[in-house]
Amino acid sequence: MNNNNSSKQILLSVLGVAILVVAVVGVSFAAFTYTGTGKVENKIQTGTITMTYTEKEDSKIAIDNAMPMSDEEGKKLSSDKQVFDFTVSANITGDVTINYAIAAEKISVDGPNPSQLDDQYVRLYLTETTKLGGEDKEVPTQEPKAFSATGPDETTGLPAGEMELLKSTFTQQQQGNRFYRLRMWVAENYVVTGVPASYKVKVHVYGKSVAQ
Amino acid sequence: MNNDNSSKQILLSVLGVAILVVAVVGVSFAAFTFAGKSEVENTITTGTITVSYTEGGTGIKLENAMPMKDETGKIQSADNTYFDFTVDAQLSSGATPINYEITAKKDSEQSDLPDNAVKLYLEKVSAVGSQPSTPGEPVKEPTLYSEDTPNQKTNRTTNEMVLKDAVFSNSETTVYRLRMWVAENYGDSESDGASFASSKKFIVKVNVYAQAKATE
Repeated sequence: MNNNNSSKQILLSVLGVAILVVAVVGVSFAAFTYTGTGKVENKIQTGTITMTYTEKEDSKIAIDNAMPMSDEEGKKLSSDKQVFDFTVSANITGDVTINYAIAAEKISVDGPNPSQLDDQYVRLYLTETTKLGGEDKEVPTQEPKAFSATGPDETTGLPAGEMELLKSTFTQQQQGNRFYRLRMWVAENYVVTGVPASYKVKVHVYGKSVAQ
Repeated sequence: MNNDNSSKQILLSVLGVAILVVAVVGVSFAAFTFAGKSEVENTITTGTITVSYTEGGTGIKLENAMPMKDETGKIQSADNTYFDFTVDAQLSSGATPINYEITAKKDSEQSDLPDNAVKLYLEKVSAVGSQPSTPGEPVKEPTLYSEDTPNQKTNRTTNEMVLKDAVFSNSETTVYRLRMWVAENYGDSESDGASFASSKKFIVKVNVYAQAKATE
């Protein structure tokens, strides 16, 4: 009789421990959980960038019977068809820098009359003006230069084969309209012959943002 | 059930972070670029200038020449007593004016008649070979041969006698006639070294020099 009681007690103890273990383990797996549902919206909204390139109506360089001239004379060209005016604009909201380049693309002349004027005999000159049409103050961006391809430039998107006339930046603090005037003339070292020669360029503007 | 919730939450969190990373990376690569391309062709075309000098006939060949009065020399009309030539300038509209000179250059090697023995006379005529007895418009009055120093304006670098010094402002074509003779007073003075004991020669060639005016 006593043996039976002991066995039962042991069994009950074991069972009790087992139940306890299970209960503890069970409780362990049924550990504390909590869900806190947030009410605050964490949002990303991008800034905006718009950039435009606008040419002044009817503005175009179209000079016939051009004679060689000094840079001092060329810089003063101002009549209709002697200058090309345009605007580069940017509107920026957000902390970003836009690198931009104003470029000249040389357009081939189908010779032989007129023939292609050699790069070394042409001067390109870009100024920044206080308003479109350059009737006000002008600031040179660089000295008159012969055409020379400087691209590509990954920082602005300038492609290969084009000449950078100006490289600058727009930021949120420095944005808006910028007015430019291009002049082009025959360099004074050109020897005039009996065959006319021509030179053609187009102006392009390239811009690229810089990651902060 | 609670294990499932935790696992789901963890999985969702990981997924959310992954999406955020992708979104941030995606935004970085979609950076702003701009290209404004003009269609306007800005063009310059040069003007043209041509100057040409064309000789007509065989030139002056005086043999057994003797001193002659200017009045006679100016109207010499026999063959080979005058030399016609044309100077033609074609300038495009707005072209830079061209400084030019018409000169006579003595052939020093072959000439042994002194400079002060020869007079030259230049006139404008209507055409090459036009009637020599019809006087033309004087350009250079009869003048003893005398060389002038080089002239930068026309890019002439040698000493030559200038017969005409002018500017082309527009296109023009002009025919000139040159005459040359032994000066009337050659041999009058012992000091000029004149000698008719042997035949002497004086040979000149006509040149034209032209250069665009420098811009100021």
